[in-house]
Amino acid sequence: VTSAETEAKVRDVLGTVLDRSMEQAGADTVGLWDSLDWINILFALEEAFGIEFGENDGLDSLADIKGLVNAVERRLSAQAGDRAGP
Amino acid sequence: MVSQEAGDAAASAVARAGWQGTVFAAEPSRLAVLSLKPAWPLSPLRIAIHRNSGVEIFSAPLSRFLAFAGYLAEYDIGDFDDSLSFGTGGPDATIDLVWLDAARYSLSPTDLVDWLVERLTVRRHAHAHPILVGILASDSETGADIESALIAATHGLGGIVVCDVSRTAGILGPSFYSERTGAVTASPLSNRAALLLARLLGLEWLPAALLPRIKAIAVDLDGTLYEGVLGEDGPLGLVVAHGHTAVQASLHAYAQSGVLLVLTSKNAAADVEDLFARRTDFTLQLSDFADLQIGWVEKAASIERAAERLRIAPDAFLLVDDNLGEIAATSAAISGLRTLFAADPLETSRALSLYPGLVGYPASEADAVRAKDLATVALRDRGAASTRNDADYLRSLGVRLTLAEDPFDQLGRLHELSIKTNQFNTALARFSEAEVAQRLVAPDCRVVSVALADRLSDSGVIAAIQTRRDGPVLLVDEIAISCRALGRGLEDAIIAAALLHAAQELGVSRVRLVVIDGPRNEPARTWVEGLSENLLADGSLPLEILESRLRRVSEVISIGWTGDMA
Repeated sequence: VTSAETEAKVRDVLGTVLDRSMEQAGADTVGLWDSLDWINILFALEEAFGIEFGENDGLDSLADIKGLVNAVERRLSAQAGDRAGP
Repeated sequence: MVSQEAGDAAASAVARAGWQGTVFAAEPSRLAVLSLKPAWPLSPLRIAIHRNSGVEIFSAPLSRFLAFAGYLAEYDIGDFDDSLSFGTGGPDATIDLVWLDAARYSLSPTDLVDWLVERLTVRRHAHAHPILVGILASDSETGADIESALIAATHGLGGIVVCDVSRTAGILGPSFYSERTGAVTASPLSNRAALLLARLLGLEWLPAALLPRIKAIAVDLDGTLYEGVLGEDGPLGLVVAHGHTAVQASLHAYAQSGVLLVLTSKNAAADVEDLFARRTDFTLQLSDFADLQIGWVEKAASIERAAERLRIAPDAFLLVDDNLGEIAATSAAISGLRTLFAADPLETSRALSLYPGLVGYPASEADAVRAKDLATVALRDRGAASTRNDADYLRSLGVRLTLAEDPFDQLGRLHELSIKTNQFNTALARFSEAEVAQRLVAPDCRVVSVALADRLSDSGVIAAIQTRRDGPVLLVDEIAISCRALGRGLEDAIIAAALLHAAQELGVSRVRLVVIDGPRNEPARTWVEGLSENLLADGSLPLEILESRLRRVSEVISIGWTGDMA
């Protein structure tokens, strides 16, 4: 999965949760969601990507699309590593 | 030509059917639930939330589930408040939701319940709207104990609904809670638990506190109760999969609990009887059905005929059918009909355990009695035709009316009669359970219940008469008589006996009836109009008129009071 594909899927999830198109939203634009939206975004991303964020994912500091994409990719990578084993 | 309204109803039914896969999924998905957008009219529902824990984890999905139930949720969410001071939610709230994390208290479960009852009593005295209470306990057993104790302790307050959160906690076990996301959600709940609780709140707990219960389920055969076509495959060629067995078991359980089942099938009657006789593996039996509508007529006509026979309104039905075209056409023909598209048997069985208006209601002995009572309707009707006149008919039935004054133990039934009766309801006051509770103990009010039995059946409590003293007059705020007591000429006896007693108790000599025009209460208005020539100048009625009416029927029926010796 490329970074562009991950970003497209993140934008889809955001569009569903926020009920508006995210295609044109800037990747580093902050203030796209509020604290209530954030709870739904968090769980919707987990469902969409089959991941579980952890306390070390810096969830409190994720404020834009770029940050979300990076967090998702880090989590996907960590889970792939877990599956591969030592 | 189809009217705009009928076309909209059909389109709404089809759109709601499109939601079912998401709403009734075995495991609801937040992303799928949030993608739902209602395409049908919604009624505003203002929920005042009093909490000490995050509700934002389920508020957005809850809005979608409530939309399926027909509501537009508006939240008035209070601050995190362990003291439960009810700082939010004024009289414009439709309902209160008290949502507490028990882990935040150092109280024992018993002390927590005592404190909660005290707080709920304060709230109940301030507002009459329903109050839902959800408690997140340390484990499902403790939660169930707290819920049981709360139900018992708040019964007398009226209108308090305790959500059985512990049921979901028991199903999910350790995955009910999640510390992982607590910092973001301010709630101990996991995403999975939050979604399941949102679904129960939106489809079961909140609608059960607000909606009249669905009285009847109309169900078809082919494709719904089994796989195959009776007319083509024959009774032994039909396949009953696991999901079909679950659907049949659910319908059988509803029939036992008093929901009326109606079979609406486009088949030959002899084939249907043969089917149920030969398929001993069916959980559902022909005797479970209160009415059979078998033939080649449209479903709407079948439901209307069944409604007339069962003396309920067609919009009190839920139609369960695997044919989306039939669902659309029947919805267009019957305004307010609820529908369930039986596309997949497992989904249908889940839907039957979650459908708004069907579940979450306290077990009503009255409903079970009603179902049995209806089975005697045909017998009673035949009896009426063969007797010479009304008096002979009543005498032959051995009718017994048993009245009770301010019967607190009948609180639930008195409330039910006020909100459910449509045909014989003089004022459509729709008293909440809390309002009825208040009237039962108010010194200037008298509430009289009337129970009915005859040699064919025991109908239970069939009337609630709400009165109060207004100067020298007995003001009758509402007379509600169940439709299952109508058609026997008993209205004079029921009302006169109750009003004469209340007037005597309150020391008044005249009666004034509050009458409100409603869409379906013509029988009540007609009865009241029959008194019009006896009214005094101020619109009140002398007690002598009621005494005269009571004398006429008391010769052929038996009237007593609870506690009277036989």
